[in-house]
Amino acid sequence: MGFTVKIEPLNEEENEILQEVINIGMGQAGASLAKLLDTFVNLSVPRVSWVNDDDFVSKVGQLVEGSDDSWSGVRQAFYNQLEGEAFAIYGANGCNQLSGLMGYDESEDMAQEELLLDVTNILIGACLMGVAKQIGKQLDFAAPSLVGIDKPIKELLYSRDREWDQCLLIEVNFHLEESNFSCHLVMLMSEASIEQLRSGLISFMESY
Amino acid sequence: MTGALGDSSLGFIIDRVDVGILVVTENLEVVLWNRFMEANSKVSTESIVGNNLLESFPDLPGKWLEKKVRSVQLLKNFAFTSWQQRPYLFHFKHHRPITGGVTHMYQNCTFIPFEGSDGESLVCITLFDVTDTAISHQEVQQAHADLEELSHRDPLTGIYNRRFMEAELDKEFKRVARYGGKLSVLFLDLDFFKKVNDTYGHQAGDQVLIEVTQRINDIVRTTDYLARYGGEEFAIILPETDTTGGLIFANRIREVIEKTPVHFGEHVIPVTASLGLSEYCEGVESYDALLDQSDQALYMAKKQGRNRVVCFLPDM
Repeated sequence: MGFTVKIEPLNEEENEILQEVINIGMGQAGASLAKLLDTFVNLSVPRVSWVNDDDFVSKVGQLVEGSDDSWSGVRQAFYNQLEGEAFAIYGANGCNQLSGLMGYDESEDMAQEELLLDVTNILIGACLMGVAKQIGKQLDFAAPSLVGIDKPIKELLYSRDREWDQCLLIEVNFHLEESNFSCHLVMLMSEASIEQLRSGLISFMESY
Repeated sequence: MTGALGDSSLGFIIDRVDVGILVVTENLEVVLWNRFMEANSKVSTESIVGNNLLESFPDLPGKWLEKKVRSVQLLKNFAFTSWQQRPYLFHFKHHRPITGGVTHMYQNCTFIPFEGSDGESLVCITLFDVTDTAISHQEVQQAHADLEELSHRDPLTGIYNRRFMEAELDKEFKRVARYGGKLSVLFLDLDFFKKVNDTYGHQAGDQVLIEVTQRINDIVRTTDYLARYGGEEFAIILPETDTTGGLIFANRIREVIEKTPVHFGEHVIPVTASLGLSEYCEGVESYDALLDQSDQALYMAKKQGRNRVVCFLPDM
């Protein structure tokens, strides 16, 4: 099963604080996105869970659910005190109206792919920075890259020889009012981040 | 972060690092322009610092750049561009004047928002030369495309192989089964081919296959698929073709093959072919069944004396 946890997992209380920190962080992300995009941003309550390498793909599949069988995905790595990888998953409708959303007009000739990368970078950056700031941890981002256009979810999340046993999964669903735009953000934090996460959560709690 | 290095050392490093670095204000006024930028753009630091970036570089995507800078300042978050979507930000010459293969430098860029010493909102743009990466990526893509094309082909004749033909037939079959339309499949087998090999040798046999392929290829339409199905057997997918059209087509092929013997050395080798045709109609369940019908028709053509075309009939 590969469920050998070398690091003490978060306890119940720590998990509760984590959920709270993520709620606040995402709320702030939503607010700054609303300011940038000049539209109201609806964010689902973030779902936090632990997944192991065996059920990772099926778990994400359940989270995005819906009837769509083809998705487009962008991957972005983050590193420093917290580390992991985040995916933005767009259904067939999600990609439409992207250029309108970002305020680009057609004369600017933005390729659809570049828009996907751009929007993903903004969404993931806003959400994870929101979380990292709450717990006083440093975070840096690598450039986002496309993992696939119009593919089944399994192909998007395909990975080779995963080296981890379990990781923290944060999922949040974005929806913008006045447009059909929506997307799922799936952020996965590796085991190596758990100690940093715990120390951050403790100092967050103490500051209240 | 900076350790014991003083400002002049840091300034030197920023200037000489092998990465383009520029800093702009929210109005795109240039604050910093390092040597990489100077050397590649031929615009000197003295002449651009304090001036608007777009005035010096009218070819830059101005509106896009303004929005990018605004969004990173607002969200206080990095932004990126990749050569795969946007080949370059600044149109610089590549550094391959001898080896060539490209027309410009490919670039990956990062936009980094920060606050200046007077609290002003600034954006640092870094620019990486990724031309070599882009070239090797394109070479791999090209090799991949070449291999894929090769895997569809029969090595001797250069026409499609059986595997590719069946995959295409499957698609055509599903299309007509779903949306309607016409579809015929023609099988062709050279008569007494074994005798050619036995009498003149295998090289002569190969020559016959190559020349017959050329003759059929001259007749097929661009929308048809000609494939070598096996040994001396060929298959031709005829989209949007009914039995009437298919028969005319099949007889043209049969006549051309009969009329033009193959020359091999001092030998003149007469060749004829038998052909079996079948057209898709409702009730045919799969492309396999369609192939099987053409095969049955071909068998009848052989049985009836060869060098002829037979069309599949349900009571065969």
